[in-house]
Amino acid sequence: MTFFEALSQYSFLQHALIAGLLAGLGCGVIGTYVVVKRISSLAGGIAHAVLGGMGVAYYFHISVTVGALIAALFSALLLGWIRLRKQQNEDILVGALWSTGMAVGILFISQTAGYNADLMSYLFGNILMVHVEDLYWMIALDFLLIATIGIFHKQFIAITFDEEFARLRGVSVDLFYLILLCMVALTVVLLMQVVGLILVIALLTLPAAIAILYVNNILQIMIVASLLGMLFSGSGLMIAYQPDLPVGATIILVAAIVYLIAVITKTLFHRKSGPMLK
Amino acid sequence: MMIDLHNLSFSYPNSPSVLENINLSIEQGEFLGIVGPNGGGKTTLLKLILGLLKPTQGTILIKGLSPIKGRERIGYVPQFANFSRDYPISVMQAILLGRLGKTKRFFGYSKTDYQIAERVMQETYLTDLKHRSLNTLSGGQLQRVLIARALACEPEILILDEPTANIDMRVEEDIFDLLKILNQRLSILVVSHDIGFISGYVKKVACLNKTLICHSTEELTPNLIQNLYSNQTIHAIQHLHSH
Repeated sequence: MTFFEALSQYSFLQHALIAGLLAGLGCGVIGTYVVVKRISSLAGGIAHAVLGGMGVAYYFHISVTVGALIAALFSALLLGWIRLRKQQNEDILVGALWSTGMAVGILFISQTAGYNADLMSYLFGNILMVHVEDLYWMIALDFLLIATIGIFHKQFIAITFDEEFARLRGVSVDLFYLILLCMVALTVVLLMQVVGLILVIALLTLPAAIAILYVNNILQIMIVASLLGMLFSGSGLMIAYQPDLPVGATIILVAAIVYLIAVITKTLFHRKSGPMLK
Repeated sequence: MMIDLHNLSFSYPNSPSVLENINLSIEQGEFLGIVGPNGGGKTTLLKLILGLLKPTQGTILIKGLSPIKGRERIGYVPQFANFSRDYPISVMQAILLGRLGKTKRFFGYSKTDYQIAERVMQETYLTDLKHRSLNTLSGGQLQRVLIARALACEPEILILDEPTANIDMRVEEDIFDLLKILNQRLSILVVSHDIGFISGYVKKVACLNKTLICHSTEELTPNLIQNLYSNQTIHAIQHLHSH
């Protein structure tokens, strides 16, 4: 049975595809800011700390998504607060949060019966297990992210471009920075359903990193990155279906290969037309 | 009075003082240059005026207001180093950021914002470059964008931090010619380490090296500058303009 035949028959596959598209949308929009503001290591710290919240939620039999959301927002605010207080050792703290979150998660999951399979699906994602209610979550998150960005577009450009100038113009830089980190946290949770928390960073950064090579305006980068994100999720799912490969890993590899091609093409193009030489 | 500094001192916690007992008044329509050696406290003084630092002692008034309230009347032109040069933004969008604080809080910019942006781009000869991306500009063009962004704030005073640090001599003159024109309607404060160059343009020079001494440009003598810079040799003396 080909992918498309299966898609028309199985609702789990339809859900998976919709989840991939919804995740692509979020990663394109927020990933753009992660790339231009260069906070991918912060995003990595948040992503891994999320396992702590999931583990605790799993142990106490409450919704794992809720646990993930709480842990993501908590670690985003913690890291933001640390940075705003101008601590010198920010990246050590990112590293500490990164591992501590995972350690907490692993401990709690290990104390819950039947942990092995589930641990893997949290770490590497399991898009084929996405339920309808997860899709509602994802739609709500996407909507929230896009609405926030739309309303405060000017402010987010200002704080990611030139913080000091933004502050002088009366923008609440600290507040918007914390909101940005919280949106990164929400996006991490959104993407986690699809590729798992270890692979989140690639899906968050690669589409925007590709877009930035070819367009030079934040709004256009967001649109292109979202389309790329959807394309990677969809094609990753399609490629993985027939040989039964892990979908998350396939999506990431598709993204990485396209990124590589984009960088090489860009380099060659520049050498030919030679604007670098002048 | 545009800016009034009274008995201003500043030191970072547990460090020797950076600024001591600074008194300075900047009048309407003035074009003041502040010069001094690196580490003499120039950037610190600007940060105090902009309300980014709090003075250890003394007062700062901008049009009679505290720096935090008064700084919306200031158009600030930072040194290049403040942002990443490859940020994906067009000349027009970068200039529009100067409208923040004056424009509406939510969603995009208003029609007025675009009109003001167009006007300041004309003033700074950037109209042809408005759709260009910032990372394709030369040093001089980028400097004009930063000036245009500050003008978009509709300021009463323009403050520039080392506006010619990253550009060559010929472009330097263009920038100062532009400032001279802007000075017809704005007060201007320029900070620079290159005393020889700016003394040809500004009306008054203040020399800052922990303490501040103010002179009109005619009074500047090589001896005096030598004194101020103490042990440092300066090449700028030879370019000193006389009026």
